[in-house]
Amino acid sequence: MSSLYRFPPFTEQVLANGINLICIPDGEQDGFVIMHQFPFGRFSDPEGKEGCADLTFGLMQKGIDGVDPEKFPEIFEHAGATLFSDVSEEYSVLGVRMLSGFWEKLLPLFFGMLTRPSFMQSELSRLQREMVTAIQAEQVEPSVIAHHHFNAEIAGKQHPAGRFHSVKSAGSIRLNDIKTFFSTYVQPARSIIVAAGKFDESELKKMIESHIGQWNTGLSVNSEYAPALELKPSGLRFVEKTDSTQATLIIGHEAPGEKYPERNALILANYTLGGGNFSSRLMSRIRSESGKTYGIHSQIVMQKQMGMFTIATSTQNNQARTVIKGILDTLKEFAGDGITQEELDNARKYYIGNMAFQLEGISNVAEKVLWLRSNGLSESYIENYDTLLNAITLDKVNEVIRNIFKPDNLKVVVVGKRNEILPQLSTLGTFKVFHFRDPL
Amino acid sequence: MLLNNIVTRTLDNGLKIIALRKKGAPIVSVQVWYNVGSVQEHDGIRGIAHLLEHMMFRGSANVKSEEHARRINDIGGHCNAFTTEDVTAYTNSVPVDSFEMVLDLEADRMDKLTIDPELFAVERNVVIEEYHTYMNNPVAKAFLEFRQEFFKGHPYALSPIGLIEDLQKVTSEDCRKFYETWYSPVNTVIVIVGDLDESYAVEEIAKRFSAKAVRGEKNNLSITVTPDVSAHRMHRKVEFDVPVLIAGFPAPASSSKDVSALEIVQMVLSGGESSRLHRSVVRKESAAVMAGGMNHLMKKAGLSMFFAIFTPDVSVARVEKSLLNQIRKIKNEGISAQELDMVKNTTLTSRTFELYSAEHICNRIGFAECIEGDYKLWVERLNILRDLDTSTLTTVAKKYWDEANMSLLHLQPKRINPMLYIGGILRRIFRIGK
Repeated sequence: MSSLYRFPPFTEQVLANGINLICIPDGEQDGFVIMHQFPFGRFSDPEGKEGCADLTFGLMQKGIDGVDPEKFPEIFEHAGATLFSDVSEEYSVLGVRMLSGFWEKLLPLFFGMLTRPSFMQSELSRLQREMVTAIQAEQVEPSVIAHHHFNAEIAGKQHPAGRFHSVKSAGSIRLNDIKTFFSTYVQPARSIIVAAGKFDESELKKMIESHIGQWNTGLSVNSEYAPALELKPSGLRFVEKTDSTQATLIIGHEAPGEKYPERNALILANYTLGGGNFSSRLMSRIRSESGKTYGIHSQIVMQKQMGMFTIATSTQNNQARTVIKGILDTLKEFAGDGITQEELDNARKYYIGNMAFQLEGISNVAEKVLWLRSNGLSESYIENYDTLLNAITLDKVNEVIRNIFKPDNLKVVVVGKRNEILPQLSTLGTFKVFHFRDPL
Repeated sequence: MLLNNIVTRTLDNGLKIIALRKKGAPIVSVQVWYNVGSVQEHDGIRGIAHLLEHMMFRGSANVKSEEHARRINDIGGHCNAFTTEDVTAYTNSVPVDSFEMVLDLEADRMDKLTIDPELFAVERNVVIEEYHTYMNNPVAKAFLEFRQEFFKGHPYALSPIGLIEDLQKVTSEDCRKFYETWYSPVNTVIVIVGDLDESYAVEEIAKRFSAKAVRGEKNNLSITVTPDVSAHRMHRKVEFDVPVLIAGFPAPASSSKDVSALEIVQMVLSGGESSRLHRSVVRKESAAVMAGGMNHLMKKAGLSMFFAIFTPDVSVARVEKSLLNQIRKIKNEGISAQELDMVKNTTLTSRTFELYSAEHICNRIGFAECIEGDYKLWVERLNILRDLDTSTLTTVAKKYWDEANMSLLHLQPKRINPMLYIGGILRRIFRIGK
């Protein structure tokens, strides 16, 4: 049977220190990208020092021993290259994209960030100021406030999902914290390097072997995934923000993580509920039929073991109750009756067709292979993706819906003007009331 | 080389087709650009170009309400639309075997849009919600006010989001009138980029669009009004905890020969950690935590902007002075050969990575054709950049960054965190972090 998709050819080898090196040669254009992924992220921040992972990756990019910190980023920028890092909950990626003609010059510096970062106090102070400013800017954003309260309700401070970067936590991080965090987590074991684009593969491998092939060989990495969240009773929060022109809502509950055996059935189900844009029931009901929002979507946010199901939207203050009721009714119907064969077929077609876009260009392919390896999957997963999804029956999807979606356990967070919104919500239950500046 | 691969054809009714084959992923990007935007609106219907963009998804003779988006979603593709001051563009990216389906959908809504009054009323509410979502951000709201002053007396004074009082009262008939006046083949450019034969693509478009009748008006908008360039200062106290300073200068139309040079000096001044603003305003003087800039270039005029985000312990006067010092320095001393090299490499890298994505290429071609005036500029700007000398850059910087024409917006937090205020003062006294 022929596959719908063919994953681009690549080579893979494990270095002595545990780094999994994947090379994907692609001569379509003159670009080159390298990404180095580590199995830790924000969830590994020490309690009270949230922001440590982000600052560590930020500081690694601010210089290496023997190079002036001001000059270090300039060397990359003068070549037109972009250094980047992406710190998520349980993974972190350090990368650089550039014209292929520069990789031999720039990669020794890139690897220097792993083996000899300069970690200067002056650069940390600057990064902390930037982080504190960014935190201050986003802490007045209604959607950020809503997400923080939702996570606090669902996870609490005992779980890393319920802890956030704050002015206080970012300000309390010292250079020694960064050094300790770096030496604990930024290790070769279980890390993955993906190089994609136009390059000489044997030369690249030689360079990697000579610069980081022996880096910290024999050390193990201390990284555990955050535990799954147990389903708790419902909870209602109202967060007062008097200058808001809209009510911002998040509704949801605990969900399984990436390890859930029926992950794909769950993703297909969510497409019909609110993940499928104009093809979803929530979009139809709240936006298309009644015009009560600009956008509404549901998603299953999955980490390795834990996950969260959320529905997010915003509406004018006087419509808050109507919109919440519309969401609850839609969810009850969905959880009770499941979806139809036609809806399942449409969801399947979306995910199968969309895979083509996920494999377009070297950056997307590199990200996809990182995702595959992080989840213990081979490229055959992509090549058999259509077969995999087509094998999921309607009965299975509806069984997953019954098992996962629990309208009686919803956590509801509303952010907005108290006097215009809260009185409408009394029929839903008693809301715990907060001010948006209250510490979480 | 790239330009040689682009196929163009203009149909008898004026509709222009631009097609480029991009081998690789089995996908195609189909974009329909209408040369109509919010500048074609008049008082009383501010926001209708954007509202019409929403109604384009609400059904046409052979396509039910929102069926366009659903059909594209359900094959794994994505579609969207955007309205600017000058254009309204509809974007579709789909697996290549659905190319003809997208053309059928686009052809149907080009001249057979339903505009059902009941659906119009619902969609108007959606747009009003969008307006409120936008206004829920104090910085965005203040910037709209700044822009209104900056372009006072000019059709660009209002953003495409429109005015709430107009949105609340526009009718489906207003919308139909706007549609019939402007959505005509003569105002339309279709851009196709994907893994399919260009001649086949052009033929399939011609099959569906060549019989479309010319109607309404051709967009020959010639704006003679120049923005009120007298400098002004605006100060707003906002529920946003970080002080912000924005400086704006009148910039040329996107088709101007000065654009490439202005983009380069803008990058030297504000692009990345090697930029003058980062090195001096942020690192050396510690006047700001972040500083940057951008050019907002439109068909008939533009806005060259700089911003600084700073801490409450620093006075706005100091930030302004620090920003202006760097602008003056470029005007007086020009830029170095090394800086010019950096900009060239950065631009070439961006271009190279753009080429991996059919949708990005499509966006760039559509923008070059409809906003800048010629799709060839997408490629030719690189040649222009290669040939620019440093004296041209200095001349352009002097021409556009004239302080007599500078407008300022200062956003002051309503509330200041006292710990940060004190911390900032201590940091400067003891030079922590220097």
